[in-house]
Formats: sequence, structure tokens, C-alpha cells
Amino acid sequence: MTSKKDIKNKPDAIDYYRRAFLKRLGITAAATVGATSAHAAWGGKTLGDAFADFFQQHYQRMSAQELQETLNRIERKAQQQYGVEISCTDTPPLEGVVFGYAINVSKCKGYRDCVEACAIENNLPADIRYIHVLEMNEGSTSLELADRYYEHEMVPVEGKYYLPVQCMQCDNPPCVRACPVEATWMDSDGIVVVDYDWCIGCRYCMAACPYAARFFNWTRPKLVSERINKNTNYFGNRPRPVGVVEKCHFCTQRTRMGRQPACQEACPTGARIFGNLLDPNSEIRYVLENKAVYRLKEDLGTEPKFWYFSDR
Amino acid sequence: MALLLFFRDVFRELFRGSLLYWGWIVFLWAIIAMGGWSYIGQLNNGLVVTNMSNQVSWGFYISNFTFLVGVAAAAVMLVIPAYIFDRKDIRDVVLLGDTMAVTAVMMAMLFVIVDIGRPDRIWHMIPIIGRFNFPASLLAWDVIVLSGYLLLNLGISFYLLFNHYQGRDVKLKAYLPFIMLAIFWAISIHTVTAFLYSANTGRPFWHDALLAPRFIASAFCSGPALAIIILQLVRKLVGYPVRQSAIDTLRVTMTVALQITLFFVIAELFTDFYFEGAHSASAHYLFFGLHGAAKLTPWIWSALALLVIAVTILMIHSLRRNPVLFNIACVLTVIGVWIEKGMGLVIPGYIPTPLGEIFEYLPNATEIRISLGILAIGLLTFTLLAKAGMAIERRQLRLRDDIEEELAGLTDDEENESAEKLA
Amino acid sequence: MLRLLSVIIAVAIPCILVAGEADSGQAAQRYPEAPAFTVQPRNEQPKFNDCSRCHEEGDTDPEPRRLKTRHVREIDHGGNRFWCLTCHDGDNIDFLRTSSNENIDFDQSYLICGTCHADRQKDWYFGGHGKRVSGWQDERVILACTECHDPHKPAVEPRPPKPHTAIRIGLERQEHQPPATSQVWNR
Repeated sequence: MTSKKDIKNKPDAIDYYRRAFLKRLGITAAATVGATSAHAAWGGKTLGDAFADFFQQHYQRMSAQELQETLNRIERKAQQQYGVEISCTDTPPLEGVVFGYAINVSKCKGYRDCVEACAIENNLPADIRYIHVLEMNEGSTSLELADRYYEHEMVPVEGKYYLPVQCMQCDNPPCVRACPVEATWMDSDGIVVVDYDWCIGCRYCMAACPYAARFFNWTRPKLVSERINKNTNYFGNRPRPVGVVEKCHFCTQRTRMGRQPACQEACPTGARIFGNLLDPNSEIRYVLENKAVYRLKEDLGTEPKFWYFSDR
Repeated sequence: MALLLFFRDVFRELFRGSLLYWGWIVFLWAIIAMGGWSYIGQLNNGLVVTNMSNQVSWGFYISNFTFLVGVAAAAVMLVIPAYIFDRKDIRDVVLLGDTMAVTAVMMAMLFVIVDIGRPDRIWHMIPIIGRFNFPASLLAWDVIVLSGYLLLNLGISFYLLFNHYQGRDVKLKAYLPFIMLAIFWAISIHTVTAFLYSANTGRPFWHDALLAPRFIASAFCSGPALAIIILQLVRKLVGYPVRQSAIDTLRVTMTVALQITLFFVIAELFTDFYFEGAHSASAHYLFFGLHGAAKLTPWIWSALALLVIAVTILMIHSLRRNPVLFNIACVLTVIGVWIEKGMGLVIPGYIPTPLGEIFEYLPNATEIRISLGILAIGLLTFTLLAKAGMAIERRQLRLRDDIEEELAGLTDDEENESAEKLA
Repeated sequence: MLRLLSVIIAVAIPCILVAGEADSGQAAQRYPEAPAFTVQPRNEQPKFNDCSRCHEEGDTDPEPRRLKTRHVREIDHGGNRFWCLTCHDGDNIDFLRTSSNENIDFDQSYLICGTCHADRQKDWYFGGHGKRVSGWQDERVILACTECHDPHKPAVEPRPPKPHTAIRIGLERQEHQPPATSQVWNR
């Protein structure tokens, strides 16, 4: 994966850039009508960027060069829209890795430290939270009677237990099947990713998801420039455009670099256990092999990679 | 050459009309402008201007889309008797049914376009250039069947009209295969739309084998009801000859379909409420409200009441023979099915969400304005297409080319004779 | 003097081996099949294990009582069965003592916890309990029990939660009522 620096240092970099520019010019000439209708709200601010945005290909079809140009464009757009200089990289999945996650329900106290950490790490606007902590009644698994908007002086509250939910990264994802343009798919490391620049915003995946884990950008995300996390990647926490669906992606910008997801790091009780399912010595494997684990709505056949267990 | 003349003559015909016609056109354009204005606002600010939310992510637009696909499918209720049962009286009005189908499909597609978050990315759906998730995605299927249906109906209608315009008689053999295809295709568009919903195992309200039969049944009562209203309107306003037998056939179809629809509703009510579990939560929300949220209950009960009143009128001879009551029954059917299949199907699927949240939804002014705009576009399209089509069918629009006339071998007198026979 | 020296040597050698580095001795024998780990040392925290600055060797009163000044007053652990010298070694006040009278450093306090909380400790060794602070594929560094559980008052206290997701303007939260059926005794 060539970075911006690599391309710049190549001896015929100028040639390369010129050819790229001419190619873009050609597309511009061919689609003049489209040009005038490129609205500032959808593309970048410059005409060249607006065109490149419009004609941007699906991630799996982009060449390395196109991908690099796309990443640069995303960085430019963040500068224009939020006034921050971010870095956007591509983090392909690691070999021999399939991620799994387990929550120790007896340890979760409902603090929502994970929810906040995820929001900060992933540049979430106020109305989107990838993680929700459900306050459930002791003795019941009824989701209908659970409350995710609890406001208490202190948690945990007597007679309740806490169940954090987020995208289950299903192995048999209904959302992937539903998407008419293949904007979402399961990568080789098990993470269901969304190509934000390919999604058309039809929201069929949101209808298909049995865990209500996908969220839509009803408007351009309002982010506070000072608090934007500047280390971003294509499939993860880079600022998303309006009109696309997003969801938890197990922090691809961190986990594919060997770090823990933000939620795991933030949990003060150690209720979250993340790791490589293919590694027989991993903590997640120990949990799955030694604890009474369960998954939500397992009967639907979605094969989530997100388990729950309890010490009690 | 004839093609150019065809379009020229059609174009001229569309600009000829009474005061009523022009008033109607201007009125429709005003509504289109209002809808267009709201849509520009939606493009600028995003779908946040609607009342949809992450909890209820499909709303009024998709409700209308669902209903309109049903109306489009119901054109087959005119095509089948016209061609399979060889009913000449219905053959004369089948083109109006096709026009209704084309208009309904077009409106349905427009509703989808205003609903998606990135209409600038629609090209992503084109196979090869974009990525088309066929056959896994039901939405991909829906795009194919709706586009195909539109092309099929446009093609058949155009073929017939163009030939009639040239004074040529059309051999049934030439286009019967397409008619047969259109019949099956019509059923398929609504079945695929039903499968769009019933494929979602995470939403028990939709995940129902009976959904596709319900869709077809309610389409086959609301579609003919609408067709009856339209046929009576063109007969009254324009003097287009519509035989009462055609309307009677549609009435019978509509009555039976309405009875089946109500039977399916009863089946759903029993299955949901005999022993209520968590899976019945959405149905409970729709019919009785859930934990204090009950915005849709008056709507669904009104819809059912309207349908029951309609079916009662249609089943009692003395009531049905009264033209006023009969037309009221048709209107009530359309409204009842629009509520029951539109908002009464789409919204409860989201309440409660798969993880138990309850947030209600009713369309706001922006959505209503845009929807009215699309409805106006549909009415305008129908008016224009029907006007041109009827002019051609009534032989008012003919290829005035001396050579063509000679070839056709018809004199003016003979033409008028055959025109009289039709009336 | 010689006795002091021999005690120091007897204690220092295992401590040097065990202190803050890769696990060995008791721990390794306990769960040899557990994946290797390092406990994050408590280096940010003030070192309280220089107790010998005040305590001379052998002057600790073994009588269970409530202590004054500089010491923890209440022990909310183990009912009323514990007192300070249950875990702290009165003879080597800078160290803790296990139930088999081994001296261990404060960074190996987990060895004592497992005496009673064996199941929990097994989970901790293998990663089913506790907090991993290194990356998921890096060298495994985990937190000691005492990082989350104050050994004098191990129960985790309630604290305020962070705010919930913003609810879209115009939407109302529905108040959930618990059903009558689930709590028969409360009907």
C-alpha cells in the first residue's frame, strides 16, 4: 500500500500527476452537464474534486493510485468542511485474523464509558452512537422493556443489569445481502465494512439488520473541529458525508494496526474482551470455550461474532 | 418519418384543450412546483427535513411507493380479460389501464428517488459500470422488475398507438407474447415488493408468508377501484366510449379481491393476537398502541372500517346499483388500501425497533408536499398520455399523409363508419 | 544481624525473580497452559511498600484491632474474618504473604486473591476476567487485581453514567412499564 509520501518521491511523479490531471480533465469535458449540477453539499468544494467524487469507483475496484487520490480527497474535504488537517489511510485486513468480541455482562455497570470513547474515537455526531447500553430488568431478557436512555445519579441500579449492544459483525450478515449496490460487505477479518463513498443511502440495510446497529447520516455530520480525531482511515472514522449509512466497525483504524478498539480500552471494569478468533491462545477463545456464552437473536441464523457471558 | 410525425402530432394534441384541461394542467404544475421547492430543500439539508429517524428509517415515501406498485400491478386486471378472455369491450379500454400502470410505476420510482440519501449515486446501481447486487438483494430485483414493467408497458402501448396512428391494424400474434409476459411481470412486481419486506427476519411484523398474498389481494381491489374511477371520469369529461360491461368486470374483480383482502386481515389479526408474544409487538402497536404510543391506531381502524363499508356496498345489490354509493365504495377502497398497505405496513415494522425502542412517526409537511408533487407529476403524465392515446384511439389523430392513406386503403367515409361503431 | 541478612536473602532472591517481570514460581506452576502475560506494575502509584521506614522489623503487633493513622481503618473484605496481617506480612512489612507463608511483592498481590477467588483467578490468567491493556496481538500486559479492586474494599462503587445518545428533536421517549407477569411476587 503506497502512501502519499511514496508517490511524491517517485522520479516521474510530475508525469504521473499530469496524466492523472489530464484524465480528470477528460472526464470533465465529457460530462459538462453533470458538472453544473454538482452541488456543494455533496462533493468537495473544487470542481475537480466534485467530479472525482461523483465518478469515484467502488473500493474493491479502485487501483492503488485511485485509492490514494481518494484518500487525499477525503483529507482535503475535511480541511474544507471542518478546518482540520486529518490523515486518512487505507487499512486492509490482516492475514490469519478473524475478530471476535465478548462482553462480560456481570461486569458491565452501565457507565457508558465505551459509548463516549467510541464517539470520540470515531468522530460521531451527537445523534449517532455505535454502542448503546441497554438497561434490562433482572430476571428478564426482554428487549422491549429495556431502556437505553436511562439517566441515573449512580449506576448500576438495583434490579437492573446492563447489556451493551453494537454491530454484531455477523458472519452471515443480512445487511450485506440487502444492499443493492454492494456498498457493504464482510472483509476477510470478519468485520462488516461500509464503503461510505459508494452507499446510495437507500436504508434497506437498516431495515434488514435485526440488531438495529446501523445508523444514517440524515444531515451532514456536525463535528466540533477541535475534537476531531485526526488519525482516520477509509473504512473507519474518517468524517462521513451526508446521506450514507454507518455503523460500528470494530475500530478498523485501531484493530488492523494491532490496537484494541476504543470501547475495550475505555471500559473500566474490563467487561470487554476482544481478540483474534483464529488464535487458540487468545482471551476471546478462552471465554468462548470455558464460559456460558450466548449471542443475541442467534435463532435468526445471522452468526454474530459478538458474544455475551456472565460470571454469575 | 412517421415516427417524427407521430411525435409532432401528439405534441400538438397535448397543447389543444378546453379551459378545464388547461386549468387542470396549470393546477398540477403549481403543485409540482411546490413539491419541487420542498425537494430542493431536502437536497440541500439532507433527509433530516423529514420526520424519519434512525428508529423509523422508512416513512411516507416508501409507503406511497408500496401502494403505487400495487396500483401498477393491477393493470393486469384489465389486460387479462382483454386478451385472455377476448373481451372486446375491455380491449377498448386496456390502453388506459396500461397508461395507469406506466404512471404508477413512474411515480413509484420517483418516490424511491426522493427517499434515498444520495440520488447523485444512483448510477452505482447500473450493472457493470456500478455494482448490482443481483440476485441476493431484493432491492436489486425490484429495480429490475419495475424498470422492466415500465419498458414493457410503454413498449406495448407505444406499439399499439403508433400502429393505430398510422391506420394500421395490429396483428395480435405480433405482440401477444409481450402481453403474456406483462401479465406475469405484473404479478411479479408486487410479489418482489412484498418479498422486499418479508425477507427481513429481524422484523416479525413483515416476516410473514402471507405478506405477498396480501399485497396481491389488496392491489387487485385498489387498482381496479382506481381504474373504475378513471374510466368513469374519462367517459364523463372527455366522452371517451367506455362500456358499462368493462366497469362491471372490474367491479367483480374488485369485490372478490376486497373480500380476500379482508379475510387475510382477519387471518393476521388472529395469528397476532390469539396468543401475544414479543413478535406481536408491532401489530399491537398498530392496532392498540404500545406503551402509550398510539398515533397509528385511528388510521388503521379507519382504514379497516372504510374497507368493510366498501365491501358491504359492493356485496349488496341494491346498494351497489346506486352509482353514487358505488363510486363511494371505490374511493373508500382506494383510501383504505392506501392506509393499510402504506403507512399501516411500513411504519409498524419499525415500531418497536429490533432492540425494543419505540419512537413514532407521522409524515411532516415537507414529506407531504414532496409526495403531492410526485402525485401531481403522475396525474400530469397520465393526463398527457391518456389525452394523446385517446385521441389516437378515437381516430382523431391520424397520420395525414396521402401516401399512407392510399396504402391503408381507407376512405374518409369508411373511417367515420368504423368510428361510429365504436361509440 | 546475621538473622536479618539471611531473611533478606531468603526473601530477596524470589522477589528479584518475581518482581514486576514475567511470571514464574507459584504463578507459573498454577496455570502453566495459560498464555504468557505481564502484569502492569503499579509504578505511577505512590509506593506504600516502604513501610519499613516506620516499622522496624519484628515490632508489628499481631493482635487484630482497628488501626489508627496512615492505615486503612475499615476492611470491607471477607466479612469480619480478615484483618491487616491476613495479607500483609507482619515480619516483613514491605511484602505481602500468601496463605502458604511465601513473601510476595505488592505487584504480585494477585497470588493472594486466588487463594479464595480461584475460579475468578483462573479466568484472569486466561483472559476471561480483568483488563488487557496491551494490543490484542502484542505481548500480553494485563492489570493486577488491585487496579480495579481495592483489596480493603473490593466491591466496585456505583458512579454516575455518561450521557445517553441524543434523541432526535420531536421524538418522545416512551415510558416503559414492567409487565405484570415477570414478577409474580410483586403483583
